Amino acid sequence: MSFLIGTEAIAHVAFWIVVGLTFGGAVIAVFPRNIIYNVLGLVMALSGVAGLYLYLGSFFIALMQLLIYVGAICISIVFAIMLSRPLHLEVPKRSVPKVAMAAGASAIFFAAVVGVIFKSNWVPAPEQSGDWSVVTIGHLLLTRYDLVFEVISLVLLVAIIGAIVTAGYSRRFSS
Amino acid sequence: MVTLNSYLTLSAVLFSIGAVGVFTQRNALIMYMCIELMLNAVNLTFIAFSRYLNDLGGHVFVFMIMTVAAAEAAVGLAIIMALFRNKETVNVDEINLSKG
Amino acid sequence: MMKWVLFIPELYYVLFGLVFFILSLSKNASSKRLHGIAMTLAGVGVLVTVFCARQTGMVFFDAYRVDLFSQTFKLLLSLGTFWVISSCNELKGIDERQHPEFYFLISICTLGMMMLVSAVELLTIYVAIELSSYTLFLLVPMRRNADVYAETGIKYFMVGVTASAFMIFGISLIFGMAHTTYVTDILRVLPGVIHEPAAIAGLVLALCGFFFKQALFPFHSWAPDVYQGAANQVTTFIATASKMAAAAMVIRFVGFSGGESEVLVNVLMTLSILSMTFGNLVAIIQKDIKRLLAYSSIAHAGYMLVGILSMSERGFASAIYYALAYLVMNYAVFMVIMKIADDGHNLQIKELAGLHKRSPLLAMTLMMGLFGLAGIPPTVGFTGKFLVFAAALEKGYLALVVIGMVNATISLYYYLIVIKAAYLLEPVRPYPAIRIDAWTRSMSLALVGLSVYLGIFPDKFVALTEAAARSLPY
Repeated sequence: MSFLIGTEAIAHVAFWIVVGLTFGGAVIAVFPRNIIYNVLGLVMALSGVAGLYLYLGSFFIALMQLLIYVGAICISIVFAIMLSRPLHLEVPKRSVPKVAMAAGASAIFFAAVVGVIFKSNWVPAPEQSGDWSVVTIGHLLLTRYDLVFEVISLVLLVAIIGAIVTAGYSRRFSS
Repeated sequence: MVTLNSYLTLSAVLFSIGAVGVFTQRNALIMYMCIELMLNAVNLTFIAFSRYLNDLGGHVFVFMIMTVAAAEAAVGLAIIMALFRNKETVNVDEINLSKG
Repeated sequence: MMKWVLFIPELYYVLFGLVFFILSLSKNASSKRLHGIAMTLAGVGVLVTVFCARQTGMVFFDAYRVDLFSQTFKLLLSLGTFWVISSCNELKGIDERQHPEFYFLISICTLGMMMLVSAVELLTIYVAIELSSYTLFLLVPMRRNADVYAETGIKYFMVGVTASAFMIFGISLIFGMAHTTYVTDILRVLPGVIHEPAAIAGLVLALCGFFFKQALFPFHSWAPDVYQGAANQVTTFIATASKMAAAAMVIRFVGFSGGESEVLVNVLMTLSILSMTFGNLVAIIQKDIKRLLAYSSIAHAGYMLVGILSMSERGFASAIYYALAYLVMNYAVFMVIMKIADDGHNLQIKELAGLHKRSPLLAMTLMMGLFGLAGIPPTVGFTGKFLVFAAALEKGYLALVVIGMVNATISLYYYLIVIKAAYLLEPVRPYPAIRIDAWTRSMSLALVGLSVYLGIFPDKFVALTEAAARSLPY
């Protein structure tokens, strides 16, 4: 009865597609030598993570992910690429021992983290209900996380002023 | 049903791939992208925990990490641009003048 | 109750930043006038923190705790900021048009670190540490000869952001284990589940972010380059004030385990030993004095950790005392460097030759500061090391203390090389005389006096640090 695929199976397939998108994108973001591929891989991986958020039922965060990461950060990276390195230049040689060492260290780290995750006894919350709307997040932002909400605006202010001073300075100097 | 452990493993994989990139890539821009991947892995753990612990605090964490990442983009790309203007390179290998 | 009163020091530093934000918009503010304003504001800032030192209470829905521990560190931070700003009167290392932004970033960085020591909620801690980190990331590449040192900014940024990614990953594991982000709840829950691997892994990873700020061994790689590549005043700020905040946070996070975890102690012990040994051995071959001090700071992060890993009240108190001692003696050395290299260049050790003839007072300040760093009695550095090692011995970590003492002896060697250069070597070429103003003269005397006084009569300050350690919420 192959035409009667349940919604659960579809969700399952969709989940694996999203996971594949995330990992494929991550690998493309990290390993190729042409920087345009790296950015496209990053976009793929970030969109995949947004899909995982949807799967976890966090529509709002998924939207934020697409807006901030894919929409803002990746675009600014593309701008940085356009402003910096001419793409036809030779990329530097990769030293094999260094790559092997880094890959080994990361593999050990990964094994350790997975070991930790499976050895630990995670206690889930007693009931799985609760309010997951944007309204609740807004309430939290203005009560429990009030100070954070204020300080993060200061972080952004500092970042913007600093970016102008750091990047804009030498242009002002030369003109 | 996908369990908490599988989400945590997913994010560990993502984090490790990002870490490999940070330690192998010599291009400052690509290193920066790998760091964004690592932050995304952390965000994934927070959302997973938030779901399983039934605590919206995790969502607020992700919200803030995203904002910090945006600030990081501004600062990091500005520093990289300043570097490029001074040195005509974004490769960390060629910029070892301050060694020794 | 007027709760906002508890927040006065922070509000004051917001105001401080705001003043320079407005001043940065005006085209023709002379750098002398800016320095005068900054020094006045920073001086009043010290007074404000002194007046607020006895306050206690919780604000912002219990995310922010004002107690003796936090207020002591706020006092040290404001003092460090004031000292750094007071020696900016010839800010030659930074372009004149960027002076308002320089003061703006310094004040906001101080604000971020003050929030860091008071924050008792993980997200607040994370955002506060990011605020202080980003200001430092931006201060480092501000140096005038940016073409020579441009890469230090990028190196600092990359290492810092990577460390912060590890830190937030650790915090996520703590959140998953403890089911809360409030420090007081974590302290109640976490010691019960400390034998879960995730709790230990979370704590160690979360500590990475602070170890980066302290330049402890696996996260030290930025220190020598940044110390050398940043302007002298920025280096001084990184080496003094930002180390205080990091030490406070290491104390707070190590306390999460409730002293129940053997594994955590072993990890910290290994890091401490590696850090001391590595820092001291590499410092021996340095020619540039700022690089030498960078490696010595790696070693000192190790000594401080010896006190913290004892996980007793006395251990934490000794670490706080050590932080105070480190502030005084490190600032003394850096002040001398800033005065000798008043055009903002990097000072080589051989340039110190004949310093005792060019300026006996600066030479003496340098000597007392380096004696303090080496831990020679009767300076404050000796008392600090003594207290730290005593706290470790109380817990029976004999091997650790022996290694620490061997390291202190090694460090004496390279500090003595610098002192020898200042007192015994003849200069190869005549260096110009050093102009020191009345402020520098009185600061030198005050620092020498302070380091001897604190070394001989530490009782009052030890009592203060013990009270501060007691006020921690466990």
